[in-house]
Amino acid sequence: MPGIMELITWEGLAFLFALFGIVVVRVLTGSLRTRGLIEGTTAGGSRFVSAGRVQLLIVTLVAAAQYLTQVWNSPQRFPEIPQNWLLFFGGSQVLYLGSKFHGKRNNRFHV
Amino acid sequence: MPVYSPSLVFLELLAGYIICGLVAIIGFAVAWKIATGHIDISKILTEKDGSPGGAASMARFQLLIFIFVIALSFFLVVISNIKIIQARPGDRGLPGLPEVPNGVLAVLGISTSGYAVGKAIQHGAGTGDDGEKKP
Repeated sequence: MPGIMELITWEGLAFLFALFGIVVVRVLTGSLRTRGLIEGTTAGGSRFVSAGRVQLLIVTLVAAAQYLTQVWNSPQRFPEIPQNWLLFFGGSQVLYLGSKFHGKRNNRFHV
Repeated sequence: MPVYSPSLVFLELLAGYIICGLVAIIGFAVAWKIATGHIDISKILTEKDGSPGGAASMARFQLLIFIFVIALSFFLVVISNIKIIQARPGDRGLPGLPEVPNGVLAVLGISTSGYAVGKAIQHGAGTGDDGEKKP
């Protein structure tokens, strides 16, 4: 019979990976809509690839992968996030929101 | 270290296994309902943008990624701490639950604030309800 700690560990990991797997499968099969994730719309209704969204997506994925790697390698405690990473992440967010505000304000595009 | 009677240890283990089983059943039921579509998650990433059905929201996607990352990190750190406590039962300096650093809270704060600000911009920054520009 497995120890209770092993049981809890496998149970928790199985649940988290099951949820993650369901989301990934649904994204890949299209039943979870990701259409327009990196696109914006002009006032005329045509779609275009938004640089603001693309850079935010890249920064998000890189930051998440980097943090998860750190935790996986040394899970004794939460790793600190360096100050320059926070500035980088905040700057990326401001850039995206700035482009969103600019497009909305001038009624030219929506991102 | 205090010595417990075998029946108490057995009872503790039994209670642990029962709680583990209950949590597993609830977790499996939730995952199963999401997988089969009884819990609808098809629109968790979409926002209204005027197009039919809406478009995927970058802020929602970002929040989803961070929630997975923080949840998995928290789980791994808690399990690691418990293993350390079990290996050194007399050590009082070890924490029960890990402290979440300010940097992690800042990232989550930036992400959720970005979502809120994005919503505010989308729903009328600089425009009236009829879509006209405010002076």
